Amino acid sequence: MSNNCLVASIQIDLTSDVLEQFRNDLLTELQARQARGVILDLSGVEVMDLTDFENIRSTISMAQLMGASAVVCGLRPGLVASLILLGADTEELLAARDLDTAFEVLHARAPGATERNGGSLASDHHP
Amino acid sequence: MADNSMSSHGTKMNTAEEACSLFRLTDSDLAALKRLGERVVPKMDAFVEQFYVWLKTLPEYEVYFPDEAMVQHVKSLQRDYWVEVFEGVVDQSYVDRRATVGETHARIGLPLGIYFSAMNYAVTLFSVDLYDGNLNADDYAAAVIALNKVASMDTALVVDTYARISNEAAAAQSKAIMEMSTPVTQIWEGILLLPLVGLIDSKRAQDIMDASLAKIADTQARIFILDISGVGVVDTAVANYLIKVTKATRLMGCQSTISGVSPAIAQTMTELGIDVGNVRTTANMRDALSLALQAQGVAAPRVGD
Repeated sequence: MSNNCLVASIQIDLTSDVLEQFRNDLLTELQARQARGVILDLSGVEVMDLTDFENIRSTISMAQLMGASAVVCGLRPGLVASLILLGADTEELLAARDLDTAFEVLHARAPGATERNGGSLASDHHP
Repeated sequence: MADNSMSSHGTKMNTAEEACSLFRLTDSDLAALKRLGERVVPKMDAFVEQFYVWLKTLPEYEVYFPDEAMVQHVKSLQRDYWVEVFEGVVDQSYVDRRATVGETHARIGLPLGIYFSAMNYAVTLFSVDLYDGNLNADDYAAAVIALNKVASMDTALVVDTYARISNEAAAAQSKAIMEMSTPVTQIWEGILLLPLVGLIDSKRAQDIMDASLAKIADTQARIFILDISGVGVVDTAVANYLIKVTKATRLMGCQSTISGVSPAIAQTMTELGIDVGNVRTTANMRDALSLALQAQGVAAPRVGD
């Protein structure tokens, strides 16, 4: 991804260790590359409890504190239904169906985030 | 699903052996039955006539036997059935034919009470009215016991099938009702519409949630219109269900609009202090549709043009 925006993808089951590591990588990367936008691709996540969700949400808040807009994308229908039933607070969260729409959402939010300057790379968390 | 639930709760009578063992039907029973058969099978025509004389006295007779051709057809089936019983052979095809009888009865909706009393009357006819007294007392007693066992077994086989078919029909019906209650439809590229009618309870709210999210994932929709003009009562619980649905669709990247908020609903919601958050609401579906089309970049025709 060569826009001024980080794409981080989580493709394994969530544990607090994974999320901790992910948060550190993401924020470090964000500063190093001076990215203006972050897209969290969660399409590979099959189960998520409220703690995991809160963890991701606070990671997003941190990214926002560092001046970036963040969008989550690819959440599965079953996962969404269970999060809502568990009473997850989703008010401030930006979400998109897939990567393409996530870029559109980011662009609408912070046009600078999707300008091409070749500065950023994807950070992938694969097994 | 219906099949699984049936086979798990139904009695084990899938094969001839299982059916016989359930009713303790032995070879000596079948032999006794055959001996009685030698006495009564020659009188089978008399049996059928007498049986139908009784059947005609039932008020339901007219409903299930509308014409003479039908009566003749059923009479011959009846005859064949009892001849078969007195042959004293219970094999797989025998069991399968009883299942067919059960299917037929379920299809025409014959009340089970009539079926039970008919079986009972037939047994009485064979063991008392038509019996000529030419068996020794032991053989006769054995034959009557055997006849009762067979009649009960056949009844059980028929009722088992009857119940299975009725349950299947009920399951299909409730599935149809569920689908009808959540008709999520794509009305334009990227726009989904769900018109809700009737009462919303927690079960239905869950169905709505599942159907909507599945459809959003399928169609990649960006806008979801939830029309509640047909919902009779919107109380705190219903409003919370609806808000949950809109939150969930947002997580899927799909913006929800609740349309059809009538004056009554608006008043109740405000009086109950329900906070819809940043969910967009409109008074009628037309406005919601117009907003949705604009958002999708379609020039919505102005009403009245």
